[in-house]
Amino acid sequence: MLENEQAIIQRVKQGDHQAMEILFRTHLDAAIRLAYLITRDWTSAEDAVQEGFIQAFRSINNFKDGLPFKPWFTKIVVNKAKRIKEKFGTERQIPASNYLIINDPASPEEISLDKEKEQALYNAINQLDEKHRLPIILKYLNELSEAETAQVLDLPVSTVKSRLYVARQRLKKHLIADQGGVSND
Amino acid sequence: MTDEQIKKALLDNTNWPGSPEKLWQNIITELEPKIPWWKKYQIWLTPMAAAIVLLILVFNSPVPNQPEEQIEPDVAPENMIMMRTFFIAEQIAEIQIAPLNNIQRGAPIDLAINLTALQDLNLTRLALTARLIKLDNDYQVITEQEFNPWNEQTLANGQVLTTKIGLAPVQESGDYLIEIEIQGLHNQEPIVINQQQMIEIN
Repeated sequence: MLENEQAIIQRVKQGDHQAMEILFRTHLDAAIRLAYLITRDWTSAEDAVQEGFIQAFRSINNFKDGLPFKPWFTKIVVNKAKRIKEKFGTERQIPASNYLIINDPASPEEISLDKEKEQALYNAINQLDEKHRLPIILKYLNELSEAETAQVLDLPVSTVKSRLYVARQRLKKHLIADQGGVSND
Repeated sequence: MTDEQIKKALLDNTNWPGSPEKLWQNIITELEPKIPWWKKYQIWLTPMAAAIVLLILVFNSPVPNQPEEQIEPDVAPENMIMMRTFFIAEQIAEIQIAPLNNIQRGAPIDLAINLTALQDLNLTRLALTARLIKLDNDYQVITEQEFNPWNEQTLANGQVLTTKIGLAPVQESGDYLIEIEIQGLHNQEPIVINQQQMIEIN
């Protein structure tokens, strides 16, 4: 939690647009990536985040003082993104991102190999079913604790822990299969 | 496979190509209060009503050579009542609307309604109309329901009447406006009291 987040939230509760913009810029990056990973479409992700911020600011008076903003807001974004995905039909497959050409002291072969591994891992995450994929995204991308993830997903902490465990096992298996049965882990 | 590798894979593949400035502008525009088209013209209703009454007065006026004192009795009584209604409606009582829970699509919309007297009131034939208006481009009235929780009431200044009403569920999520309108008679004169509140249905 930001040191002055509570002060900013108090200002938002008084309708201060500048404070709203600070919260927006602080949480935008994680929110838009999360919404994209749920909706698999940038336009839908933007809609989800936009609606999420609007709802958060309109209902900020229901937000309990002293609690961190991030889990509360993340829950709103997850619900908005799920609703938009449901509204616009079946999931689209996320296209594989273009490889970046970067200046790195490592050899081109090493860079290419690392990128391939990273892409394989990303593909494996996307092939997880939603109930296992979401805890992974919330933990590693949004950096929520297991307790906060449980709060966002309305699940007991024990269920989040078990889903994270199962998800990691499945990722591992997927990567081993992808590498022709040899584990580097 | 380390935690860092998972994080990096997620971060490197989700770089948003959009503009934070544009998104912020959309949000801040949406946060400005939305006013239904009929509310935009509400400020003109009282002057318009007064103007209509004046026009009626002018057209119903006797010939110019008659004494001025005789003009007043020619005003139609129903027009006088209408004009007085516009002036007293917002002053004698106030409505508060409170949604009783988080409203989900497909679920009944439960509302608590308070009517607070702003002066001593002798109310009869009270009827409450609730409208649910979708806040989109058309401002379509989705439901309109009438309730009769009170009928006749004598209230002291500051006294509050309370009731709970349930509106029919809606199937589409989004922003809606609830309008509560209470009509009746106060000391045998017609009154209309309005209040609106925005709600979000998830």
